[in-house]
Amino acid sequence: MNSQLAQVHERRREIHRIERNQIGRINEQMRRLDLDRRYLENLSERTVAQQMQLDRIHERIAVLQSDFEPLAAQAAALRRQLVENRLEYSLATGQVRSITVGDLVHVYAPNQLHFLQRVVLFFQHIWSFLSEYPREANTEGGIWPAIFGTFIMTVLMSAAVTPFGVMAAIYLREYARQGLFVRAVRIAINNLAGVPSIVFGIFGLGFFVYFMGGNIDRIFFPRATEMGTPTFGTGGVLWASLTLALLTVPVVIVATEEALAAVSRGVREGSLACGASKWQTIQYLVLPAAAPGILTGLVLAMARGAGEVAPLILVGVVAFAPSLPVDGLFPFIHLERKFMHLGFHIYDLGFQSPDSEAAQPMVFATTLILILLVVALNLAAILIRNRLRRRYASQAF
Amino acid sequence: MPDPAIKTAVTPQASVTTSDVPLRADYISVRNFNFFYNGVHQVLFDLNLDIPERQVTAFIGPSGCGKSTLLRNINRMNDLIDGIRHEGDIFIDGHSIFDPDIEVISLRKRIGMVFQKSNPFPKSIYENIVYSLRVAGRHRKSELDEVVERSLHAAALWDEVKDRLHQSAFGLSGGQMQRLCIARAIANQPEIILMDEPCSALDPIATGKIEDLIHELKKQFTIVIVTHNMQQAARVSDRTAFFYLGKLIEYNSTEAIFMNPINSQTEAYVSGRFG
Amino acid sequence: MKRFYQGELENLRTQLLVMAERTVTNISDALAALHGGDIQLAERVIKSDDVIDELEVAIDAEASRYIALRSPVASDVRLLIVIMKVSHDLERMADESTSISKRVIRLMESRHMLEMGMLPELSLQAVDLVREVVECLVGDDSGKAESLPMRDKEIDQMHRRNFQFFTEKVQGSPELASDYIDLIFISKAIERICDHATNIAEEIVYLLRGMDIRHTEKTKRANV
Ligand SMILES: Nc1ncnc2c1ncn2[C@@H]1O[C@H](COP(=O)(O)OP(=O)(O)OP(=O)(O)O)[C@@H](O)[C@H]1O
Ligand SMILES: [Mg+2]
Repeated sequence: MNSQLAQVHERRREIHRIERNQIGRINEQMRRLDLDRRYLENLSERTVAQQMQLDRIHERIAVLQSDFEPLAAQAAALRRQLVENRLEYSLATGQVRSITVGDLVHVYAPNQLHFLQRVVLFFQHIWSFLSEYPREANTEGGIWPAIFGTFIMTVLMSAAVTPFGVMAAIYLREYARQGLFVRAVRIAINNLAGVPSIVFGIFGLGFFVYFMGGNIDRIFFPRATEMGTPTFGTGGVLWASLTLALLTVPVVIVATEEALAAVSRGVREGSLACGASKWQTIQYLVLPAAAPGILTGLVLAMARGAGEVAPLILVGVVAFAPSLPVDGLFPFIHLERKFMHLGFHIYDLGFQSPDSEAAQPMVFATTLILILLVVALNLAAILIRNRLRRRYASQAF
Repeated sequence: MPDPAIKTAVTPQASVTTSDVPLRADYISVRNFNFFYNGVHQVLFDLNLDIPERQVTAFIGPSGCGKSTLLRNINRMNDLIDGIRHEGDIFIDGHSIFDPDIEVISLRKRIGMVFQKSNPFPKSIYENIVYSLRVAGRHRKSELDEVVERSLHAAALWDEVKDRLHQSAFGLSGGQMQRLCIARAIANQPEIILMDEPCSALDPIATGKIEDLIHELKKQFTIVIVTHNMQQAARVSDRTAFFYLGKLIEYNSTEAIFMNPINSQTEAYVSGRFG
Repeated sequence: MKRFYQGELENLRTQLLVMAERTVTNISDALAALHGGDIQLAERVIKSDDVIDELEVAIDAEASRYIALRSPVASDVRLLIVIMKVSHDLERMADESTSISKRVIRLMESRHMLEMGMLPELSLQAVDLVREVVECLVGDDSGKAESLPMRDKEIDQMHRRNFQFFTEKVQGSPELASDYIDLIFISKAIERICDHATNIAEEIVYLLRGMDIRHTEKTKRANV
């Protein structure tokens, strides 16, 4: 029984390896070649060079096809093996049922496990929940792609919002003449923080996806665009991150401005009196001293961004993404890909799944993970901030 | 108005000089200087005074009389404030500091400043001292090490901090911080040191150390010090200027000001009978 | 901790000691001229008095500068006050020795044989007292300084006997009257020198112990 189960696991892993990695790689190449082939075939007239290229593409497609077929056959064979054996079992009521062994995920007898084994099992479940791909239309399996998608989106968002927000704050606080215009800008920034997030989603769709993405596609991927398969011109993790960066930039600006204002006049004057220029003063003294405050702002921004769902629906989040934005295929980071997100995953499980009753545990577990992620981000930043603060413990007077 | 370019020789009191170049009696020369905050609020009125090279000159006077304002004009620290305006001129070694050809940063590199409230940077003791070198683009470690040791020795702080140069400057006591600020001010070998009430937050022992230090430093630097402490002015300075309501009331050798002032207001102020 | 300006106070004290040494020399020279009939020595005393006057002026100026600029307290302020008083006493003592010297020159010029009464003994006592006072000043010896005012009584008595003796001489031999009157003044001058020496001794006690022993019962009784 157990050995059979192990065999089943082994086969599943094999199928996964073949389908996701090998066949995936072939598919990717096929897709590109296919695009070129269709483009070339659609031309009314072809130059000699183009004709030669087309022929070459046909050859390569044939080669790939021949690579593909044995792999596909292998996978199919493995699948067949999975359903070969059936398990018959009887319920306590006396009914007899049967199930193909290939459908089994775990087999264990809870009442026969002693305490330690239960604990181990408990953690195994948690681990597989965190590390596995979803199965059965998200209602089973793990949520790893959603965690990873949330994480990568938050990182990208921080990378975009930090320089932008900090530079804006430095300009407003240190360089701009404090007049009517700067006051107006400040008010505008505060108002920006109060704009409903779906509005940012719409703006992101219009500006980033259609305008910027569309232009990028026209310039760099003209063939794919003509064939109606946009690359950047559709929602993706990059556009989602930038949209959230816009959403959170007021938080960073306000926090940074406050942190800059808190750097004492004495330190600034001391620096200038040493013959430093204004920018040197900011670079060497003001920014390091303001770093804890800036980090606080960034944490608030990250926490807000990580929990935001509505705008993402418009700019690239999907219920199920076949591949992560980072994988083994060149160029390894695919910022144009659609991605999964914990917040949207919750929505999808709770309201879009065929059997929402059955999905309830998943909804709660996913929600917990999302909250834990936000708490962890906050804690990490608070720790960093306190460390920085302690290093430059404020003057004792 | 004497031509500031004419060099006048002066024998410094009790100061040892190695160079043969005669020291200038008008090293810093303030001429018909008026100063306004917010464009109209005049705080300095037609000041004329010559500050001699490598001597200690003290500015005294009641609070709000404009001592700090004049001091901060010498290194153009007031440039930071919006709406300031000045008339007249200030010359250092014969050159106007308001000359458009003179860059304010290079001016400040020649002038060290010590503030009333000690303001160490949120950095290590070492980095505090080498700051003025770093901003001048000098990063060679051997040079920086040497400057740190020399400046800390000069500021009489070396023995107290030599084992913790790379710890935060905020771990020092108030007096040590102020001496650190002095060390920082002299690190890049300025010509002038401006001190705005450097001992106002210090105990008598720290004050004494700093006064001794000033006495040492005048062998090398021209020092201008603002102080509210009459005894301090009397102890450390060679010349004293008494200001009242933005005007220079009396400017003379410290001995004359404290023993035989000409003006009755000066007499009343130095003897504590003012107001 | 030694402050940079405390050297000034030490210099001042050294200057005072120099002045004291010179004064002692002048006194003993003047008395030696009196008893040895040495006109040149007497002239030298008169001349060197200027140096002592200058020293007094310099010490006064420096001390008042120090008081004005250095705000001295405690033993420093006692030292300064004592320095100023002692320099004044010394200057007075030097003046007395100058007047002795002038009278010695006059007496030598009149070439009369005179009886000296107790003057030799008085001179010895006076020079001894002045020397010891200066030693106390140099050696910071308050114990000895406290005992010195007692001697004043003896010296006063000698002077009083001299006064009687020389007054009788004036009445006895009118042709020598002016010479004997000079001797009376010399005796008086020596007595004044000892008074100043006594003052210095009292000031030394004040300097070192911070207490005033002038006009106390002890010294008053001694003076009666
Ligand atoms: N930034 C400023 N804007 C407007 N007025 C100012 C400013 N700084 C100083 N003043 C005014 O200028 C006058 C002189 O000030 P300043 O600081 O030079 O006085 P001060 O002599 O240094 O006094 P204190 O001894 O109290 O330091 C004061 O009346 C003060 O109110
Ligand atoms: Mg001031």
